[in-house]
Amino acid sequence: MGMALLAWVAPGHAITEQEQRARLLFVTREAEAHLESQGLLYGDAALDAYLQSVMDNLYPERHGEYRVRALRDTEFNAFAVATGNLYIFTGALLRLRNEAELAAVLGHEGGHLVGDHMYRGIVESKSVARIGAALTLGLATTLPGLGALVNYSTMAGFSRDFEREADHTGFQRLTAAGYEPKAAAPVFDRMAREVTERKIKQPPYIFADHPKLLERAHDFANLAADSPAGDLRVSDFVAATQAARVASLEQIHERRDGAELIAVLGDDGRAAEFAPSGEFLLGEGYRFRAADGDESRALEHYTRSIEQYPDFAPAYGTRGRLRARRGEHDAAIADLERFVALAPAARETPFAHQTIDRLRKESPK
Amino acid sequence: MIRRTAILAILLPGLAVAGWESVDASKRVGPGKADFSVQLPEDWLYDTSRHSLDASHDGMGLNRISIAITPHKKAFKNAKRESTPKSAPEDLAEDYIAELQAGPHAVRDLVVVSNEPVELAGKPAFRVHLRYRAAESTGGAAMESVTVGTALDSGVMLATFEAPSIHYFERWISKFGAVANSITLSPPPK
Repeated sequence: MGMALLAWVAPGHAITEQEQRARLLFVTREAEAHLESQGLLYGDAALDAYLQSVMDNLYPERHGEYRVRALRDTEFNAFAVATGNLYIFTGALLRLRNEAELAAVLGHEGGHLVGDHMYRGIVESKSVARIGAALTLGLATTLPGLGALVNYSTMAGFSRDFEREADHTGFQRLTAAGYEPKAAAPVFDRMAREVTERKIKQPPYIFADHPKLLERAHDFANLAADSPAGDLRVSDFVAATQAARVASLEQIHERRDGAELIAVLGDDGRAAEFAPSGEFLLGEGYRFRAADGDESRALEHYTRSIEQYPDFAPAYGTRGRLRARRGEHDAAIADLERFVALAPAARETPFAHQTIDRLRKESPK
Repeated sequence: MIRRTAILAILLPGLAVAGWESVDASKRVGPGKADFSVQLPEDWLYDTSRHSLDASHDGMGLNRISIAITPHKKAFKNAKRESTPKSAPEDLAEDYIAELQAGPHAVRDLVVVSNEPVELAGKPAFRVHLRYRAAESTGGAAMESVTVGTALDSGVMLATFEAPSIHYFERWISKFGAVANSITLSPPPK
């Protein structure tokens, strides 16, 4: 396939706009089929329908034409492709706070579609070889599983002019649809903070590089200053996306990425939005990160979790382990016994028994 | 024996073939400076010339048993974690899995098949069964491993059996169970 496309773009072979567009659509469709076959789509019809309703609200004249689906990935990202399809990562849903913020992201990606940026990006780079290069570089993508699609989408990276154009279109659509115009700036602001806190070298494509994140947050704040207020639609957003957001959190937890858990849950009151596991997962973030003082912070959050949800077993299990490590034998045994009672069939329960036995042997009589 | 050693040399370029010996069923073995010994399966080859004890039947890429005691500061260096003599087996298992997923030879698509408490050399230990893809730099094959580990005063003791998921893991895993059970914290008799 790669060789065939490279042959298409051999020097001296003039191709028409129609041919170029056909090729772009061909490789994009192939890459999208690959994405589906890899099981990367989140696959919740109700969630996709909700995302679609927001998109249709933003671009009513394209009703159903720009199709949105959720992708199972914990990063803060979204992208559009030349076929008119948009993909938003569950990690983006996790970090957004309301429907207006979601609309800001979808509005921006829709702006790339309206502006025909995927095709114009190829033409204006004065080389259809971009498609060929995309194929050869596709395997080197930083997003495993997305493969070559990265290169045929808005993730491929556009000029500042295209990004500004998409921002402008997205903002117009946001306000026209009645959303709160001030919702756009905090999204970029928050992402800039996460890029710094997690020391991300390659920021999510939707947000371009770090200095531009802050510049764009500033641009949106200026645009919003003179616009009438609109709706945030928090409860609709939470009801439709919560399962996907929790699944994304659990994915980060399984990967034991402490910095990411802290970045997502560390803001005041944020952990409470993910009851009953939010406080516990924030504690896990500190335990995994293991910087100076993090063990104490982890214990604080496990304790807060237990105070709020006295029957939430994981917080007892992990607090017990930390207490055992700190030599607090009696407190550790009490926590672990409570964990075993609440979760007799959990995967960690045999280890809890083992630790209880060990602590009893080591405890002075 | 000469033929098997030659095969190993082909399968493992760079391996010091001179260090490999055939297992003597009546003899416990251990690496030169480590304070442990083990009974390896008959008909395997082993190497004690490094800080770990390595053994294989068909070549290290096809079936490998490695046993080592690594100082606490170095055991989980890639994952930037440090164990202690008092580390709980459950914590060690987490550290071990994190170590496999970190560094230049990080494995991919790791799945924890099981993780359970056991004993190793009479001490509380973990036993973790994993499936993963080896790092691209080492071929990216679908692999399976079982590791048993415990914290000692001198470091973390890890005993691992690793083999390709296809055929070799199932074929040889039972041998590893006997090897792990035979580990004692004393040097081999002279």
